[in-house]
Formats: sequence, structure tokens, C-alpha cells
Amino acid sequence: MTGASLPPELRRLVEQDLSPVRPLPPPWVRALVVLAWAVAVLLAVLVVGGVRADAGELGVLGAWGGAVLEILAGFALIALALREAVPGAALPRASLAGALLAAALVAAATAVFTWVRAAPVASGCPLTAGMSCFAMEFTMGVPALAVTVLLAVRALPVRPRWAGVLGGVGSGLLADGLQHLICPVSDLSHVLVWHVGAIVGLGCAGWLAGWGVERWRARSLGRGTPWAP
Amino acid sequence: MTAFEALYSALAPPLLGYLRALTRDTSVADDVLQDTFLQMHRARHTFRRGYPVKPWAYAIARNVFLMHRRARGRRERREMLAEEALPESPVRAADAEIIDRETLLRGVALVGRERCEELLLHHVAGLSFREIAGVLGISEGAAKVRAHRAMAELKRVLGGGRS
Repeated sequence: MTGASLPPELRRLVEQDLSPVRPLPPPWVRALVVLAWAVAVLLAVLVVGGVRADAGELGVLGAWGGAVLEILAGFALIALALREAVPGAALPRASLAGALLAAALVAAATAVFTWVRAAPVASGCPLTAGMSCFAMEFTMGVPALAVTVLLAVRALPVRPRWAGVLGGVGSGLLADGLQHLICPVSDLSHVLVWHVGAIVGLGCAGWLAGWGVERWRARSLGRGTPWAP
Repeated sequence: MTAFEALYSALAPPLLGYLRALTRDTSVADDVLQDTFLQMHRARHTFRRGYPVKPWAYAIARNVFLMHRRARGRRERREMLAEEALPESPVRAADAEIIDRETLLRGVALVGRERCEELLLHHVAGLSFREIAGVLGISEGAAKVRAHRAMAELKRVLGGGRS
């Protein structure tokens, strides 16, 4: 092997930061931070307002099963996003697309299962109720997405937009799992348009965040100050 | 610092060859190499202990290259690689029987980087297809298929259009 000596400029820059670092924990361990946030919100929901009025009618499986399933699926997607952010551990695009498809199936299956089991509930103005649900779910998802993006940026995502989409949809599923326990409206059109719409919105927000990270890093490099995680 | 110097000594020559093949510009490749090692140092916490270092290093190098290309709005130029742009890392003996290093890199310049990246990473950098899959974010099978297609394309181009 042909050796090469360190350029003086690079040596100087490296010598400026020789502090020891802790290796990055596995993605699923880092994703636990976001899951902890979801559990905290869940506890707050239970203490403040309680679960949806028809929880008894839905049964444990219908009310809690759907929520837990969505939260776990969201956790898995966030772990995938954090894995995607580690250099050299990028996932095949087919796997990423498959994960997003699985997320859509989980959300749709929960919606249909609840719709079949629950009695129709009058929700007043459908548009107002829908927008209220969308806003609440989106708001619950934004902190999870922000934490996911921060954790991803702390690694070195080669494809930040993919990591952002995975993190966004994962955060959306977490929020939808929580919303499933709160929102008493089980009407399929309401859930598919407004609840799933919030998941899609968070996925788009994640894509935008990834795009922003990409631009920020490109600008940093353009200024000759390499981006640091 | 000694560890970083050892890493630089071991990885700089093959990485520079890879980056020269990507950028087709010696001075840009040198800049990208320096940024790559700086990023490797700053992102050292992302290296997973017990895993091979090459896929990690090549993924960072490729990432820095893409950022550079985006930052400068550089349009890729299709020009023949000069002798000085050849990578230091040797082509493995088995591959050398198929195609020699110089011919391979000349062919890459003709066919285009995008279509030959798997070939470069496998034959020039010496990464396994599994490692290439992690660097490029594709499946191992896709990496093999693309490398095979690129090799066929190279043979066609270098053979003067004979299939």
C-alpha cells in the first residue's frame, strides 16, 4: 500500500478538535428518544382528557391495539431513518419504498378496523372537525420530526431527503396512533383524509427538512467551511 | 493524531483515485479529498465499531463529492483521464485479466460516471458488492447487475463498437 502524508492544512484543522467522542448508539436506541416523547404525550392525554368516548365499544384491540400498532410502526420508520443517516449503511430504495408502503397499510388497516367496529358519531361540521384533527395531529408530530431530524443530522445522512421522509412519516404514524386514542370520529373519509393527510403532511415536512439540510451542507462546503455534524 | 495519520496514509491514495474518477479534475479531487477527511474526522462518532472502514469512508467521500458538485453547480465534463489521475490502488489480479486499470478508467470517462460507479467501487476501490450496496443505497443484486452492465458497456465502447 502506498502511504500518503497528511497535508499541513488538514493536520491543523484536525488538531483543533481532538476531543474524544462517544460512538453513535444503534438507530433503534436513538429512536427510543422519540418513542419516549410519544409515551409522555400519551400519558398527558390520559391525565388531561382521557381516551375517546367509544373506547369501551371498540374494545382493547380496537382502541389500544390500533394505537400501539401505529406507534410501533412509527418507531420502526424512525429507526430506519436514523439508520439511513449513517454513512455506509444506506438502505436500498426498494426497502425504503416498502417501508413507506407498509406504513400506509398500517394506517389504512387501523382506520378500516375502527370504522367497521365503531358506531357512527356526528362530528358537527366535517370540515371544521377534520381541520381540527389535522392541526392537532400535525402539531403532535412536529416535535417528533424535529428530534428525528436533529438525530439524523448528528450522523451524516448521505440522502437527507430520504431520511427526512422516513422520519416524517414515522413521526406522523406516532402522532396518528395518539390521535386514534383521542378523536371520537371513526368515519372512514374523515380518518383517511385528515388523519392520513397529517401523516402525508409530516412526510412532506420531513422531505423539506432533508432538502434544507442538503442545501445548508452544500453552502457550507461552498464557503470552504465543511459542514460538521 | 497518529491514528488519523495512519487512516490517511492507508485510505488517501485509493480515495483520491475514486474521487478523480468522479470529478475528472485533479485539483477538485484534491479539494474533495481534504474535505472528505475533515468530514471523516468530524463524523468519527458515526463509525460503527467492528464494521469495515472502507464503506463508511467511501460513503462520506461520495457524499462530499455530491455536495461539492451541488455547491459549485459544476457540470460534469467528459474528458479523458490523464495519466496523473489514475488511482494508486492496484486492480486485483483476477480483474486485471479482464481489463487493465488504465483501460478501465479511460472507459469510465467514455461511458460516464453514473453508469460505472459500481464498477469503480468494485474493481478500483476493492469493495464487495454488499459494501457497495451500503455506500450507494441500492441492493446487493442491483449493484452486481449494474456492474455487469457497465462492464459490458465498457467492453463495447473500448472494443470500437463491437458487441
